Amino acid sequence: MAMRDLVTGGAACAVPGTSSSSNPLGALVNSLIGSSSKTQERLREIPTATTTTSNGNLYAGEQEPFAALPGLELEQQQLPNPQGSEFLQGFHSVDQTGFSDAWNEIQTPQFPPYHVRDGPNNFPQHHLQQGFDGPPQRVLSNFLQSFLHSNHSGIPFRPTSLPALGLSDSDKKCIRDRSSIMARHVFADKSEDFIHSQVNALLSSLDIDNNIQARGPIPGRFPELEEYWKESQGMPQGHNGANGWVSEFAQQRIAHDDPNNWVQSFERQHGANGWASEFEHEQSSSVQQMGIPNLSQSSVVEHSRILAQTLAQNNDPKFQNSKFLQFVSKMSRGEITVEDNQLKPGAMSAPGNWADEYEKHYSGGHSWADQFATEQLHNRPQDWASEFANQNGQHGQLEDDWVKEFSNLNVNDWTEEFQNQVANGTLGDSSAENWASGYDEYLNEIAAMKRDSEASRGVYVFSDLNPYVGHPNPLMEGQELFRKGLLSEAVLALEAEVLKNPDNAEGWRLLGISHAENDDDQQAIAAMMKAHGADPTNLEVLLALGVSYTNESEQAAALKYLYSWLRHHPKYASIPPLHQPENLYYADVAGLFKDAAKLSPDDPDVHVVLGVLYSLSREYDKAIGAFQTALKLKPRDYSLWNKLGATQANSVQSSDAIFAYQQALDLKPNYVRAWANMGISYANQGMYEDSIRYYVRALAMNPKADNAWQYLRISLSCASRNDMIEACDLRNIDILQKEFPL
Amino acid sequence: MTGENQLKSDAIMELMKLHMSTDAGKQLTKKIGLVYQMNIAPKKIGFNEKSFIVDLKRGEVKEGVYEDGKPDATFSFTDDDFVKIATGKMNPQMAFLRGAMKIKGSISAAQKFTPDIFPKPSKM
Repeated sequence: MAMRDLVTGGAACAVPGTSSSSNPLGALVNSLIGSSSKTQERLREIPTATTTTSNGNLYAGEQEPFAALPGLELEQQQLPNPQGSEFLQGFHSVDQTGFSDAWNEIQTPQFPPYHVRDGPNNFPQHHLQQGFDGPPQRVLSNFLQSFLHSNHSGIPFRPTSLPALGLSDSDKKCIRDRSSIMARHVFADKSEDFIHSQVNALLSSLDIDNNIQARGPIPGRFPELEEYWKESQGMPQGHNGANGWVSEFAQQRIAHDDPNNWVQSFERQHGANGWASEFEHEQSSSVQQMGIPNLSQSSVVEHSRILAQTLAQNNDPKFQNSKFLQFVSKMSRGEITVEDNQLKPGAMSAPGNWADEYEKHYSGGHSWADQFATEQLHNRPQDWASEFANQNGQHGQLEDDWVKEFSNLNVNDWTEEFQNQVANGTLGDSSAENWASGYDEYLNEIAAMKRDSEASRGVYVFSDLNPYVGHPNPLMEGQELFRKGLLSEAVLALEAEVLKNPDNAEGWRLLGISHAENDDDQQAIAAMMKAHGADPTNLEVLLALGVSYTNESEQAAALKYLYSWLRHHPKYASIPPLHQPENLYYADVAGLFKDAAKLSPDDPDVHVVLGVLYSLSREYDKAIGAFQTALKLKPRDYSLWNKLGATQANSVQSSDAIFAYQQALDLKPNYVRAWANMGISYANQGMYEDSIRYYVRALAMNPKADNAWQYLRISLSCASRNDMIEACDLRNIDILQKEFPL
Repeated sequence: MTGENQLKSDAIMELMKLHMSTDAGKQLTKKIGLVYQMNIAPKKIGFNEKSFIVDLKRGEVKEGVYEDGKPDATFSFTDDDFVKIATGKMNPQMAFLRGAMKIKGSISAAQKFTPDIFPKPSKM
């Protein structure tokens, strides 16, 4: 049975006289919740197939809403449970295919109705009654059954003249639609033409006008919904194949003998999204074909409310976020109404209401403003908190505090303010949208976070597809590439080296330097730590670690390595006291270095380290002084120029910084870090257009420079180049390069 | 400079302070004109917080709590998260939704809090 039919309350499911609408799903929910008294009435009122009450019960399970299919009165099985019948009221006789077949197979009352999806292949012949006489509904059902059976018998269906069936127009419409869809499923392996002719034959026999296109593929059943829906999306229309159903059905029937399964599955709906989008799609497309006659607004509202409640009781955050739930919530609030089989937005709920509404309904995270506005988000914070906590394993306590804090938020002011803003139209569109779409991106971010956290914990991340693995001497290759300035290539070669020789300190060191020059401090640190492990006395490694940690503002770590540098230096090792103090205090370390500088004022390295130290403590002028001294001694050290530039930039002497970077770039044109720093200096001065070009240049050389991507994005938005933001998000460097050449 | 009370955010705030005296910084006061207070905690929001006032009305950055009335919006984060937001690695909306950033005060003021307010640190 098509979920769609259930949900849209396909024709002939109307049961006037009850509080339910023609939404069989709503009816289902009703039944689940316990208004079972309507059952009998409803059954009686099914136009196409006036099932008698006794026939309303197909399924015995206490909560299984598995009403008899209209038209299935052929089979005389009784269902003890009247509630079950409502569910199947939605089933138009045409779609009884699966049901009739399946039902025939179901001899035990324990069968969960939603697995009833048999294809014609399993049709047990002995239950079929082919008589074309008898009460109209019987005739109809027989007729339809034989239509379907014509598939697996391979005999094209022939128009047959039938006695007057008394089908109303809406019935006819319904039959027409359903049959064409059904045909596509059932005859999936036949050609379009065949399908058409079959359908035509059917319809002409029934004297129905066939000029409607069949609808889209019918999605599958509940938990299988998702897969099935995906399948159907991926395939051309009509080729879902009854076969898929058949095999699934065969598999499923054995597994489920618990009558409660269905209900539980329904409530544990993971396929909510598939179902939800289906539902929405359904509702928003031209519904008139499905013919929802006599839809009374109030009943719709009530139904959807009940439905929403049921669904909302599910604590799965995805479920709560589902568009379906939002949609149903809206329906139940009367925000969206179905008129003339079209969805129409109801009277826009005034801002004043929304706070109330939100309290009642767990709408999805569509607007964070909604979330702000209520203090009664019982489930929400828990969900977020637990998701958040799960993502960050170490934040044990966090969720409790956060939840407490969240509920203490002084939201009433915000509520008023928000209402005022909406009323005044002061809420800029873009900002509100940004905040609203934030949540939608939330779930995507989780994946990104996972990736980042790995790197940030100091674990080196190797590249995939490394062409240098297996190279006879990757270290040499790496050194050569580095010398040539091909940093990313050098990285690959060096990775090959350290994969081969994990204890090669020089390999790791150079790898670390390459990453640092490629503007990736995370990887630089990871590699340098390995180098340090392999050789704790290497001064260059220690200095590089000090620099990278300073860049990351990790004071304690930076101090540790800079101090180590001094201790391991052959010349200055005697300066620090013999035992290393527990906590390195900056002042002490600085003092030591000043002593060292006094000891040998012409040693540029000491000055470099001093410069780094001063940067750490943000004594920028002293740092600049130290670097300049070092530069006098070592004027062609590109890395030193960069350090000078960075220090100047951080003390907001941006024009000087740019000059220094330029010097560095003259010495090393592929110095990605310097390019990125250039971009930063321009951006910090508000010269966003220029900064974009520099960032793009840096990224062209190293597309893995994450920092630069973030900065580029900011500059693009500041320069009002939102057209390029998408390219930026997609990391499409080609487009960006074309657009922003240097 | 001791080891304990140092935050990574100190560097960014320092940079911001210096930035205020440049032309670009002065532009900010024209563009935004609000007072933000940031409560930054080393490990866990609400514990051992250090407060900064980013006064984009007067164009100043100060350490401490806002004395001249109420700030337009007050944010609370951890050190790492603030750095991520200021450098554009984490979107403020995302941070809020994750609970990594807490907000008090005016929504509209909070919405104007974006990464591009902050100058970026350069790397040695």
